[in-house]
Amino acid sequence: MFKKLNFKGGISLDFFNKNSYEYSLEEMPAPNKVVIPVLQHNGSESDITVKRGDKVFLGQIIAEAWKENSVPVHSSVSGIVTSISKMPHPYGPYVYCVEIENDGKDESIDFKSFEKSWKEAAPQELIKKIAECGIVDNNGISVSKKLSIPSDKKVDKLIINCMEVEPFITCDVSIAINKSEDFFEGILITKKIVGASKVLIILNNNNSQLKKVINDFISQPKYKDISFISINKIKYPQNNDRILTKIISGKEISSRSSTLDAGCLIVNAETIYLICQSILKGIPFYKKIITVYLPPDKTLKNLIVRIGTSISNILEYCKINLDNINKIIAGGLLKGIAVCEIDSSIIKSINAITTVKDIFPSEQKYECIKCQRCLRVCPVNIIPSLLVKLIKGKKYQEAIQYGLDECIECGCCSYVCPSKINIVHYLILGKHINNKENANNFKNISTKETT
Amino acid sequence: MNDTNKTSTNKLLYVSIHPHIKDKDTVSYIMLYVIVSLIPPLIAGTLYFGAYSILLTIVCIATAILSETIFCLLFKIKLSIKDLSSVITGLLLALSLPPKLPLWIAAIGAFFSVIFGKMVFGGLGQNFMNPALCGRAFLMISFPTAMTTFIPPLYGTINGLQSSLDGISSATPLEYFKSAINSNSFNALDLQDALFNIFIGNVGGCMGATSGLAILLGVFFLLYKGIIRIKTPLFFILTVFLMFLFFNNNGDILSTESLIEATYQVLSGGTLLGAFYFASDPVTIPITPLGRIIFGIGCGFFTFIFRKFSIYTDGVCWAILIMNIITPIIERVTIPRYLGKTKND
Repeated sequence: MFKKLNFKGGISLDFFNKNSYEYSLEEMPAPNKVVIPVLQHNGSESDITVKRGDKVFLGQIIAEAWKENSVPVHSSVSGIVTSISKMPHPYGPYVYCVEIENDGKDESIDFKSFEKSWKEAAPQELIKKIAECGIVDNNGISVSKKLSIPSDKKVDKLIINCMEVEPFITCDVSIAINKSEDFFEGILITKKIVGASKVLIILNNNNSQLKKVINDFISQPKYKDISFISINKIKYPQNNDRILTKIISGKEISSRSSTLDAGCLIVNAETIYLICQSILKGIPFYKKIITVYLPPDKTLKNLIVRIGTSISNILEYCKINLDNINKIIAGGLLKGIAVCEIDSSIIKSINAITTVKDIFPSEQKYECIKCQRCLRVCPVNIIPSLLVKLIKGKKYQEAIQYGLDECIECGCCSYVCPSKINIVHYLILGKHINNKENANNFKNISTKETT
Repeated sequence: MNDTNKTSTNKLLYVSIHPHIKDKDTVSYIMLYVIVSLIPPLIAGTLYFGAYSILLTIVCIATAILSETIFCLLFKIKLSIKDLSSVITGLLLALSLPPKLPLWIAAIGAFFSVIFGKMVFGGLGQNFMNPALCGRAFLMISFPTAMTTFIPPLYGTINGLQSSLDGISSATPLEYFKSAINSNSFNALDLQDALFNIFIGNVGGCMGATSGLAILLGVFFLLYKGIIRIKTPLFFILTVFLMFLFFNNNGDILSTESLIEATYQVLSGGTLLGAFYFASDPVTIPITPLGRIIFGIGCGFFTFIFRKFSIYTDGVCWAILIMNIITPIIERVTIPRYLGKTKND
């Protein structure tokens, strides 16, 4: 069984990751004050259950899930709620946040572990427990929702993503290496929940440390169903769900279908670890492992931080001089989101903090010369420059015909463009406007029907 | 609020869409590499046809830059000479002109190239025809005599033969070839002698287009740097080669004579310069991978037609211009299939 584990397009970033292998974990002391936004993922805000002046314990629910697409939020320290007000979310908008003054005692509620052994439990019960713990993955998707497989779909392969694709992010690998016991137990639990027949761990071939850990475990009879695939060439965006499914199963999935149509379910290493924590020990999601990039000597630090720690606190702890940076990115250099306010706090879907000093001017410099580079790196094989032209000319329908919806917003096209056009910006804009037009059309139709 | 918070809230952060790093290559870099790669043909031209070639080049480049500047100032648009595309236009035009062309004609050509080939369509990236070829075509129509008067190189004969065929000595290799066929005095073995001279460029012809060796030197540099891709030129040259091989004059496809004849067609005239520079100009050729192959084949086909049947000896210029015109249609029918596309989409 020898398959070519490669895909069309993408950009090779070998030169970035060269000296950035750093897998040790370090616990950052809890800050004096945490500000926990009640919007922690791609969904709707949760309902705040505490009042100003309340005493809260570590792990206590401070905001409840009240809709299908919201997740509960837990207190990450013990102390007094000092204010509930609208404060900046790292991604821009002002949302309701619970500010808690840390009393430094870390008094926790009783973490209730799962009543019986997870091996005897039904998948629904396990998913319910995961939902109570409020686990969210790095893409901001509620894990309990992700693991509830519709009855007409079947998971053939459970894919555990342990690749380092984006430069300067090693948090997933560091979990797999440092918390390997929990990690492998978590794999078994997840396998049980989704009913997968096969488990594949995907890692980079040059990552000998992780390979050794995995080899140690899968030689044990308990973990004999787990196998791993190492990928030779590190190319961004290998970690994208659709691209990874294409690499592993060879099946192409469009933007309208999910990876489940190809029988694959892709889960990050950190999610697996959190699942294990919640099922075995009942610990809710209040600590997050993030990678911080230290600019002067280009090294990395994997920190365990409390959710709600402000970004400025983390930078201070890592001794990053604010004068030397002018941009903070939540996530990696390629797919991360620029943070608007330095005082906004860490939420569940942030996996890295990268700081940069004005690497490039972001405005367009030249006209498109049709150099074909964007087309060559596009992993979904659309023509970004043509779409930009159409979107600039307001021909959204035509752009959709040429595959605008298929864009995975990976940013490879913007990266290589010699004219420095912000191609991703136009593609996202085009998608947005098209969605808006569709919604308006829908509204018109429905009002017509009612009148 | 403590002190650290106060200082940090004052800090304004840059916010932009991902990716937060970008490749170092810019359009100016690409253009600069192309200019550098054109230095060997320019040197070869100077060696074979004297210092007048340098003068011709300078006039072309200067006129090109000047016309673009004046156009920008006149119509109050952003000055765009910094992208170096007008330098390339002037340089390529000079290389594809006869070596002893009067300077004023060259200047008119450079002016026409930049203004009517590029600027009137909205500058670099908007033009549908290669500017330099546009200027050259204009000169071919306006000054046919001057544009077809070629001189022998300083140390060789005009058609690469060492002798004596005085009756046709004023003809470039291609002209010689055509008239030799028409007068039935065609001798492939003569050509074999001339082949080496033609390869190094020691023959009559356009200033920078005669030396295949010099052009290939520059092309290797560009290929190594990844500025141009081999696909379009390869299909162009292959088509020219195969067409002349199959429709040769002695009826035998695999004979030495017909092979020499086809090689000769590839090396002489502007085939190499046209294939690697004019047919690789990204702005005026299709963006789709399949489209680029079709473009190359089309160029080769029209070159064959023009060289075989038309009154113009060198058809490369016209072939590429025709393909430039149908580029949008090629693009439209060769849109690649995107990931996950089904038959219903």
